[in-house]
Amino acid sequence: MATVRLFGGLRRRARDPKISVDGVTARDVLASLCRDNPGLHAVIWDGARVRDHVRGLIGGQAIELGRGLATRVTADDEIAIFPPIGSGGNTT
Amino acid sequence: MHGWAGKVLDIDLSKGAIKNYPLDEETARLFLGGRGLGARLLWDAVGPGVAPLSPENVLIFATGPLTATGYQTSNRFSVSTKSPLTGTVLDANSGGYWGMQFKKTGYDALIVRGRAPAPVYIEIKDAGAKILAARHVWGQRVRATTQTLGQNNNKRNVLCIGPAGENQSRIAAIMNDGERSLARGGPGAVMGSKNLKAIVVEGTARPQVLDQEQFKFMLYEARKLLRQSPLTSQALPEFGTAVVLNIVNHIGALPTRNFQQSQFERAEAISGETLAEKYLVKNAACWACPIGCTRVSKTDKIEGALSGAEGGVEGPEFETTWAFGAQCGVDDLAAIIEANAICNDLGLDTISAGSTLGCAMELTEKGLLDSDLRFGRADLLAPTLEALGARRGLGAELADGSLRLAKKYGAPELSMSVKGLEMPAYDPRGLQGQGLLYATSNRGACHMRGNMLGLEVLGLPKLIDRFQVYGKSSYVILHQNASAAIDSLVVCKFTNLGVAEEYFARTLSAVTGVKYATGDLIRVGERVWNLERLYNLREGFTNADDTLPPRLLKEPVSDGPSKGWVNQLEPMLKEYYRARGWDERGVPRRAKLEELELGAL
Repeated sequence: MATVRLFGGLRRRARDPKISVDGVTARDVLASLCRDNPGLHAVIWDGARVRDHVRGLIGGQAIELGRGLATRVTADDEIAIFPPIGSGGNTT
Repeated sequence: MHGWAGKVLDIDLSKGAIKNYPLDEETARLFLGGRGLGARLLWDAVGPGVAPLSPENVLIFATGPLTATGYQTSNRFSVSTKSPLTGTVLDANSGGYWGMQFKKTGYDALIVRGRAPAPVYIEIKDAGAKILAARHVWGQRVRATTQTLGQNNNKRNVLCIGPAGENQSRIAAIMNDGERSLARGGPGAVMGSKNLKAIVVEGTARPQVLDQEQFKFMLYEARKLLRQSPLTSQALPEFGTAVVLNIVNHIGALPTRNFQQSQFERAEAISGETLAEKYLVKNAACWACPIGCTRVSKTDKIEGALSGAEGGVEGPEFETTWAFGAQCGVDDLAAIIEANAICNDLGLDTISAGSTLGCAMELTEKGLLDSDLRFGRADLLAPTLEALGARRGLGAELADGSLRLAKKYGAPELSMSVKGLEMPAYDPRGLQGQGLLYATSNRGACHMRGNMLGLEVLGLPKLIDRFQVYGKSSYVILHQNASAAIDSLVVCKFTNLGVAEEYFARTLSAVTGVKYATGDLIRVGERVWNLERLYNLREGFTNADDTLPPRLLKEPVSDGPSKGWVNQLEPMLKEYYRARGWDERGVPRRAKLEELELGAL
């Protein structure tokens, strides 16, 4: 089982800030996490997509810059999930 | 004029002379206000070679065309001067109430020249300005001075220095409204050198808005956008700026123990989440701000004279938490809150103070400095800061920042600074673009002259590879120009997390009647950036100063998600100069200056 760590406002929507979750891919893990903690679903998912400003990291690297939700997950992996957080400016 | 008050107040403390004159309309159009107007006035007022702590230096307090209109976060203002820490052009800006209140006295800017023969303060009301004796508050700390001079948030507002400014610490801040700060680069020392303790403002004149109907619509739009954004409606109100600490640590970009590591094993203990859970009393907001990111925190350590309303103190912000936390190897959040409160009361820049302590800790651990300071010594933060503010013992050496300290003890490379200004809380080895941003920032290393965290980590507005080198310069330039424009309006950069520049341009047009498209507004920022560059070149700075501490260029990160990386500055810098329209030595080309209407300089 991989370990999921939650940050910011996600913590009060889950039973614990650090949770062990089953899954072969990042998508499986997130789906399983939200099944067990339904309060997280609306904050993380937008239909079948993860919301734009939710950041997922495995080993400190952004999931979406690698293989995305298809990224394979091992029992040693720690997946960090951050809600939208801001700093500085948002120049477009 | 609409938006602008149309007047500049000019006070010479050496002569006791007070005069005012109209704001030049063309200057206002080109530079707006705040940082831009300050840089333009400074160019004429302080020529090359002036010693920053001499009477020939000036302090320019400037608001912008949106200030005090009631537009979201239109409370901010800036101070511009020649920095006593770096010798560069400097501006620092602050929120709270003072900027709004100063604008309501009927002026866009205040220029303070000379040096008073004895301590004074300035009082500005609708009827005019006075220079008054300040013997009764000289020597007092910030909170006491602010109360003595009659702070009353919506009516009368106090800006002052504390003991650190009086003692001309080169990392001294100017404080306003008690706990807000114009912090970076040592403007408090310039104020102290002028024997100027405080500036008190009390005004009633609201700025004129040309197109009221359009302005009301823009207010409505901004309110809606800020409410819709999860950043400005949830993350910042709930956790404040410290909410980013965990993610910066998680990716391996949180400088730890004077940048020797890039992850702090005790980050959770000093995070925004822990602050909210254990120490938060409430959040607070500046004038006309619907976001409310300010923390009011309380611990047993800040009882008595240090504490304010409800026994709490404002802060700490993320950068402060990092500076006294990871940078010093300290995991005691209560001690960090206390250190922040002491800095605010002494009038000190928390980033430079914390980073200078971290530098002293490494000097000590390497056997170069004989002191008790060691990484992790939370118990020494408060007494060391008190000594620093008083210039007592080792504090006298710490008071002039990390570069002068490290040079004195034979290891300038241990100062984690650019152009002498201590770096904020992002390790450029794990964030390549942030390194370029620090190296090229005109006032020295700064996260508020643009910030690549949004693009390289948070995915705002999109995520790019933080280790990518080529192509980064265009993003950095865009952020630098936009930040200079926003600092010239002046509004809070957090507003920009929900409200795009296009809305600022439309609001500016509605308020002033001068038509600004989005590109025009960004062009103002580019103009300001180039003018600041010209100022530094005139002072003798060269492309050799656009660099980072050797540690970040030569020592790869030893562990964690950024393992193996140094900052690849050189190729980014070459690309940056070219994209800026500068030559290979970083000098703006004539064609660029003509394009920006800076040809006459």
